[in-house]
Amino acid sequence: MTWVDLTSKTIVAAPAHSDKTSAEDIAALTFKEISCRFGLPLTLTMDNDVRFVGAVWRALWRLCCTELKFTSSYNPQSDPAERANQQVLEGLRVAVATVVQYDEWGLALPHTTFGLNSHISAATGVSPFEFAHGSWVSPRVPLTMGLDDAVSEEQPQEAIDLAQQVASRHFAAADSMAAGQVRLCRLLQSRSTLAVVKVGDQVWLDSIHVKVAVPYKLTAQWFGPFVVLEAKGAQETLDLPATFGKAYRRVNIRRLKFFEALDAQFGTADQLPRPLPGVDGSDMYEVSRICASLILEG
Amino acid sequence: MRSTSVQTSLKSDIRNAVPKDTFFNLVSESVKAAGDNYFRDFSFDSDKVLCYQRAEDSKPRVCVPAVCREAVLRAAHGDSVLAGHPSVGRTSAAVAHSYYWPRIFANVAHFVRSCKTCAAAKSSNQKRIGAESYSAVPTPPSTSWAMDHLIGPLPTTKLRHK
Repeated sequence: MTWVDLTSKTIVAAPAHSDKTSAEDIAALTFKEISCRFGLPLTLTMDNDVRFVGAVWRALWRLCCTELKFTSSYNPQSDPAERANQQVLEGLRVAVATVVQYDEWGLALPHTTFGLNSHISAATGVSPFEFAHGSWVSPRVPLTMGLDDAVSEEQPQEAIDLAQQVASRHFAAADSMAAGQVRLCRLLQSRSTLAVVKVGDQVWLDSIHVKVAVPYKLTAQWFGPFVVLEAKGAQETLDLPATFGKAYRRVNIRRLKFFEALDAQFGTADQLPRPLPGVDGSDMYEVSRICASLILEG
Repeated sequence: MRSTSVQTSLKSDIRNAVPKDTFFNLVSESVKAAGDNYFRDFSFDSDKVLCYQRAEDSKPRVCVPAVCREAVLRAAHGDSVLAGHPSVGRTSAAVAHSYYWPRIFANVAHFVRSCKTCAAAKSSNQKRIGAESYSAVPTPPSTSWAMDHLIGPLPTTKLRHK
C-alpha cells in the first residue's frame, strides 16, 4: 500500500497483511500510517478499485469529514500514487538485488521510502523531508546540523528567519508545482485535440486495458459505441455493460473517440442539389472539374 | 464493384426509383423532351437507365436515386467479404467508377466514417481527444493524500506480508 502527500510529495509505504485486504483493513492501515502521524487528511485521492468504491469505505471517511476524490482508471497524471508505486517498486527491486532476500522485501521498504523522501522532487524543487520539516535530511549529512544555532535562546530573530524561510519555501514549492502543472497541460494539449464530451454522446472506448478472452492481436481496437452518462472535464462515466467491471466505468477522455452515427435521413433526404453560380450569374450544375480531380485523387 | 456491368436487380431498382426522385426525375423528363442543353451530359442507355457521361469520361455512369444509394454503398464497402471495408478514398473511387449522384463523395465519406465495423477494428493515427485539466495545487502540507495498491502481487514474506 502506498500513500503520497500531494503537496510535499512525501511517500509512505506499508506492507499489507496477506489475509487482511478488505476495505476495513485498508482503512485501519491508512489510519495507522497517515492519520496517526500526520493528522486526518482533508482530501484523499484514489482510483476506482472495488474496495474504494464500496459503501463501507465511503461511510468511514464521511465520518472523518475527509473528501474522497476518485480518479479515472489508468490515468497516472491525476493519481500521483501510481507514479509513487513505480518508484517504490523500483527501489524494492534494487534492494532485493543487492541487500535482502526476495521474501524479505518488507524489511527494505522503510529504507526505500526514506531514500525516496530525501531526494529532490521535480515538482516542488525541494525534497519531501525538507518541505515538510524545514530541514534537509540525508544519509550523507549529519542530522544534528544547524542545531547549535537553534538552541541558543538569545537569538529569537533567527527563529523568525527560520519560520519565514519555511513559509517562503512553501510558496516557492506551490509556484513550482503550478508551473509543472502548466507544463504538463501544455504537453498533453500538444498531443491531443481539444474536445468536449457531453452527456448522451455515443463514444468508442479504446480496448487497451480491457481484459477480454480473444487473443490480443485479434481484439477489436475500440469497444462500443457506449453512451456517456456523466461528463466531468477529462473524466467521463460510460454506460458500460456489467462484463467490463464496475471500476472501468469512469475513464479518461484520452481513451475515447467519437461515434459518428449514419444520418437518419440518409437515402431519404431527396432534394434538388444547390446549383453553383455560373460566370454570367446563372445557375450551373457543371462540376466536371471538381469531380475529375476528386476521382484522380481518390 | 469495378465491374462494367451493373447487377440486374439493383439496376431495375434504380430504373424504377428514378421517376420518384426529385432531382433525377427532373433530369430524365428534360432528357426525354430533348429540349434544352442544360442536362446535356445525361442520357438513357440500352436498358432505359439514366446515365451520366461528360465529354472527358470514357464510359457512362449510372445515376443512383436517393433511395438506392445506401444499397450501392453497402455493396461497395462492407456487405460482401470481397469488398473488405475499404477506406473513404478507395470506396469513393470504386463507387464513382460506375455510379453518379450529386454529393457522392460527401455521402461516401459519411457512410464509411459511420461504419461500426471499421470504427471498432481499425487503429487510428489521429490525435486523441483531450480536455483542459489543471489539478488544483494544495497549500498546507500533509493534508491531501493519494493512495494506491502497490502493483503486485509480491511474494509473501516470513511475516506474512504481501
